Amino acid sequence: MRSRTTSNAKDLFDAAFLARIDRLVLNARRHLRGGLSGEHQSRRRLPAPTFSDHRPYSVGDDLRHLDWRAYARHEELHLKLGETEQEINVVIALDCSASLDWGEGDEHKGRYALRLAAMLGYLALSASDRTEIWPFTTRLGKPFGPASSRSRAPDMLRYLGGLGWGERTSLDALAHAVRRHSGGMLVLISDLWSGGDLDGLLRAAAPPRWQSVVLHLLHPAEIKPDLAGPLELEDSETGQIITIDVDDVARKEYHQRLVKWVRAAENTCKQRGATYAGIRTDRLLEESTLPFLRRRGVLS
Amino acid sequence: MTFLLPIGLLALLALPLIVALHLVRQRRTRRRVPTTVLWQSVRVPPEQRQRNLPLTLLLLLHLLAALALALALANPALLPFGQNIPTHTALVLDTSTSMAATDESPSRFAAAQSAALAAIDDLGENDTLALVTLSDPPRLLATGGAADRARLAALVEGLAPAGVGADLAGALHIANGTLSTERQQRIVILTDTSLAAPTAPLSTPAPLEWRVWGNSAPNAAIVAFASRRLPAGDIALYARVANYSDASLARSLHLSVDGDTRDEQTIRVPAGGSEERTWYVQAGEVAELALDGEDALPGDDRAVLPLGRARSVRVRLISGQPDTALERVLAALPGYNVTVASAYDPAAPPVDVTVFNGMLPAALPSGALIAVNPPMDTVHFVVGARVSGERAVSTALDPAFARIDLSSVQWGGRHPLESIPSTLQPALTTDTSAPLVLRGLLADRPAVVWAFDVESSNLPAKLAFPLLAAASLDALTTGALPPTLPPGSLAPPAPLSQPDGRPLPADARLTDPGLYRLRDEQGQPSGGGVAVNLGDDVESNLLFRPPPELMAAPAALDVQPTAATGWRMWPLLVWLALAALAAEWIYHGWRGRPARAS
Repeated sequence: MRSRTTSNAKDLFDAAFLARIDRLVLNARRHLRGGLSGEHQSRRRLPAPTFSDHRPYSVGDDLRHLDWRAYARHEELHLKLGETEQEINVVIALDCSASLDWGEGDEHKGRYALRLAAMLGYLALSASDRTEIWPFTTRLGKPFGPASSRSRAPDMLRYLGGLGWGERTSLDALAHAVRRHSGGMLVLISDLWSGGDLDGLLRAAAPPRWQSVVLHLLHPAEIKPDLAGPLELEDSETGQIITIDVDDVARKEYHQRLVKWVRAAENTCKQRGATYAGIRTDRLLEESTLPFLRRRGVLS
Repeated sequence: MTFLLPIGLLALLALPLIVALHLVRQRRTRRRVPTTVLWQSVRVPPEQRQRNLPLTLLLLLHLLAALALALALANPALLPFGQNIPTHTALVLDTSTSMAATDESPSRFAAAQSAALAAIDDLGENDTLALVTLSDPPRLLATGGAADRARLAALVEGLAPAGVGADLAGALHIANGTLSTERQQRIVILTDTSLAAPTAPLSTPAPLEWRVWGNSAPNAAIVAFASRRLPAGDIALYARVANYSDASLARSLHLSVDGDTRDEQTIRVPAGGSEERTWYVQAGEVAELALDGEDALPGDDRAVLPLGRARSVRVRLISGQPDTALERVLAALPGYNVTVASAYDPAAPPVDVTVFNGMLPAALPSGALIAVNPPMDTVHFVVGARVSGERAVSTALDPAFARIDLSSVQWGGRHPLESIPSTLQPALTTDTSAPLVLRGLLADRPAVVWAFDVESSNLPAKLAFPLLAAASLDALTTGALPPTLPPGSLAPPAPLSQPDGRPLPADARLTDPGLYRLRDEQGQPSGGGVAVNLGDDVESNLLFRPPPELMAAPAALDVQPTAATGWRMWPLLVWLALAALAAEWIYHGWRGRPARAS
């Protein structure tokens, strides 16, 4: 098992990219509960400056929301109720297992995941969401956050630049942490080559408490392997070596199994109410992936 | 391009071996992948697995090195256009009588002759050829190259299938002796394999090619025809007829003497057997026997036999001494009409043999001569000073005198010949190798020379004396001619005519069957002669026998063609192989580095 540190965080994003994504907003679902200082429309009926309904005054309610006109008419104290913008918890679960350390250049899965995590984290901070980043392998690593201000973005980028890849993957520890959390938007960035149970994680992160987004990263060479002939394949996480003769028949069967496995993950997400997005790491982040996420309703 | 050592191409067998090794031991590259989960479940049925040859750089380098080395071992050479590797061919041509069989058209020998002529015609600029007869004894006729085509062809065309026996071991020995290391070589035997079992092991270091003609043809032959003069003067004739076939035969046998039919009968011979016949006839000159019908070798269906002398031999003794022992022994020999003269008279009527005792005139008479004790003043020899104490050796150098042993004779001193004409050869010698009796030609006349004085020795008291006199006369007259000679024999030293009447050249071979008649000085037949008959137990048997086997040949001659071998390519090929091996070493070292994560 190897660990490799990412390159310096400075090269993950440039200012132009940050300016472009500044206009994007994470589409948090309105049923999520959050604090009262966010920018997400909530369905919760709260005392609010904008009026949509009344309820009788209770001791301790904010006097700024009393409806004095209603008191003049009915000589009873009532509070004005309405929709108000709130902050939500955004948890970015980032796979840092050895299988992410694969690929070259901008197609490197781990680097792509970091860039994606950085982008989503920036959006969350910009929207004053309570943002956390949970790196995980077989266990949870030291998290970033919670942070709610855009001013924490540099800290976040530095944090992400210090992450590495190694060890095996397991979603069990992540699921455990999710159960203990109050809820929010869970964004799982992973290649899902895990020894854990995705269904178990999504059950732990089920709505209404959670809104789950699964960003499934795959390198083009994982979709269409450039392997041929007699080979020894070494698993990057387990170190297991298998001997295989790769020919057209073998490649065809691998592809069939890959499609079946991807569809199984997609179905699992659908069944558990999670949003699934398969992302190829050879697609440019701002030109392909972001529009894709917009179409999937993850961004707006 | 040509290969000087084609056997080196056997190394090309390494190429499929290398391919097989690569298929069996395909190197597996280790590749790191994110996960092997999906690959583990990939199970390709064996029948669907594509087992293609991995055309890797390593395989190509191995094949290139092996190919270059194999070609180098074959010693390729680039020759200028139109030039070939010089070759020496030893052509062994069977000239035995069986080759006259007509089961091949027009005959076995004609077919072999054509093949020999074709081989001569195909001689390249730097090729050589040796022509050897497969006969008994075998003979090396000639060697030559492309410039000698005409001479070699003339020799082949002058050969005829007439000879008893084929000494294959001897012929191979002669052929092997013509081989050299300067050319690629081969031995080609042109025969019909009606060969007797070889008497010696056969071996040759050069590639041997058999070219065989003839089938198992049935044949009948007169294999023996002889005469014996009876005391009463009659002549007994004996003949044996053999049947070399799988079926019995019945053919008509016809006997004639001097052209007159004496007997005609049907002779029945069982398959593979023979029948004998005997006749008794009165005096005659020539007997002829013939089998009717036709078979594959008609030449052995006839036989001829001379039946003794037609007249006495005329001998004139010229001696200054009367009543000598020489006179007495000559008179005692049967069949010789001896006259005596005390001096030589050139005008005297010619005789068959003139015997000069103690004298030898400068001008010699015609006919044969016996010169006894030539004088010192003769112009024909240089006679030396008297010597004494010599003894004769018992071994004769001339077969005509083989039965004569003079070793016990005391010569009492003699005058040896010091300068001997090359036309005379010693027949009997002393223990100091000085000639006692010589035979050959003296002034172009058949002659025998006795280089001793009969009267001063005790030779007249020895049995060898009349034997020596008879042998000397027989060597000069028809008495020395055997009644028959095998076909292909050298002609005896007597004036003979061929069966067709043409004079027989001196030193010719008796190849045509029939009667070779004696000629007189005018070239007319003088009676008597020697017969050549083709029938023979070995040669008349035309049944096919497989070629004899050769024993394991000794190490082949190390051919180092020096003539016109062109540019040798093996150094270049060796360097190419070394370069391929070096590239393979570098490539192997590069691939041996730890695999990077992809």
